[in-house]
Amino acid sequence: MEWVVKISKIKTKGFVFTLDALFAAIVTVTIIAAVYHSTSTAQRDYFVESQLAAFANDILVILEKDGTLESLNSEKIERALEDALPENYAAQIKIDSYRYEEGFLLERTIVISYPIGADATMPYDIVRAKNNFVTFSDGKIRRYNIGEIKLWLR
Amino acid sequence: MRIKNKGAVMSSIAFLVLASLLSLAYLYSSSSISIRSLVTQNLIANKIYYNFHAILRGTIRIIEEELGGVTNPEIQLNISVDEQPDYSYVSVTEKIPQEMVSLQGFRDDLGKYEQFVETYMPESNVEIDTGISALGESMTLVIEPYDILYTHERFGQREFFVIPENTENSLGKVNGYDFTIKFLGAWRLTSPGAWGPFKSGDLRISVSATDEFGTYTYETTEYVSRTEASQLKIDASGPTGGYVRVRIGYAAPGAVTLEVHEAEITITTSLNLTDIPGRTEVDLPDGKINVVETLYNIEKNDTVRMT
Repeated sequence: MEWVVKISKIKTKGFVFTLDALFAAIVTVTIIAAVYHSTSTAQRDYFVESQLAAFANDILVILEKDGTLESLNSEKIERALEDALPENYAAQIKIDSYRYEEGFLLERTIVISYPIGADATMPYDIVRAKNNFVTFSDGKIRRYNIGEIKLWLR
Repeated sequence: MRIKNKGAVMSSIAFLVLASLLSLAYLYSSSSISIRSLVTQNLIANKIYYNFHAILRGTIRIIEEELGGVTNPEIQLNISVDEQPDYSYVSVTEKIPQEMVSLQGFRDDLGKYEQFVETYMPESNVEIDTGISALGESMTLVIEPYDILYTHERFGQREFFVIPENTENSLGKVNGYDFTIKFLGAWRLTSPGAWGPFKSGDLRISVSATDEFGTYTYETTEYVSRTEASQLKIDASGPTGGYVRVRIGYAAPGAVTLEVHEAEITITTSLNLTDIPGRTEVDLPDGKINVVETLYNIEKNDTVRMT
């Protein structure tokens, strides 16, 4: 009878140890998972996005002020992008050009990507900026334009 | 007993370490979320700022291109500011009267541009409302921070006013007005101007007038009263009798009323102002531009500033 009690005690002790270990493992894994989740959601660098957005806006303003956008010349705009963008940046500029005839009519759309073939539909973190500018002929507005830039890190 | 206590202590330490780790992670995560919110608001504020300034640049470009007198010599309005340490010199040049067909074209372009930006510039949660088309009606300018009005009953017609709006920072800071007048076309300047009534004081009025023939030039500098009315009339001969009348102190103390009868002129009106704190700017109060983001309620609402 004595040996039955001993075996029973040993079995119970093992079960408790197993439960204890399991509980400890669950708590540890849960905490590590929570820590990992918290830090991974916080890891995205929003300042990069902010800096990209400021850069996108600045590029549009510069190209507008120096008359590059107004030229509506794809090659000129592409060269300007090449000069303005650091190596690890890619951009796409789209210009919708309207004329007024009893209302605004879309006359032409120009899309310029740099580097050539850079695809703004790819799942990058893309920032967008938009502006407008007018072009003149004989002292009157000839075209009303909307310029939009998409900028992302390659 | 000893062994059991040791286990409990070890477990407690392990638990505390893990709990601390979890707390740190939570703090890091929550601070990151608040930073994210700040960065998002900053991004939106930048977007609003850039949208506002894109519309502002477009408006100024239309004014400069269509009124600048280069591409459209029939209508002219030029504004310049020369800010020195002790004084500011603000000059406005305009043709009087303006050619009405060209002027109507300018007003139409402002209206179309307003319609364009209100239609094509808004994005999701971004609304744009402007009053650009109202600019061409009276073309009222406000010289800031002096609060001096340069305005017309209707822009392009034969009269304009310069009105210091208050005694201290407006009228009290005007040292003098310089008028440079050129009669255009067949209009000839054949006789000197005549003051009457004339009330002497400390407000300097300098007038220089000539015509395209250059045969006669009239120049005068007088110091008139800031509070009593004085008047100078400069006659010109042309297809009919014409004149330019400069009246001081009629519309308000120290205010200028300039009328052109029959003749065609270009006139530069320069205000010599004692420097006061703040940048000297020329504001177009009728040209409101309002860009608002509705989600975070971030707004940029201001008038068109030329300088």
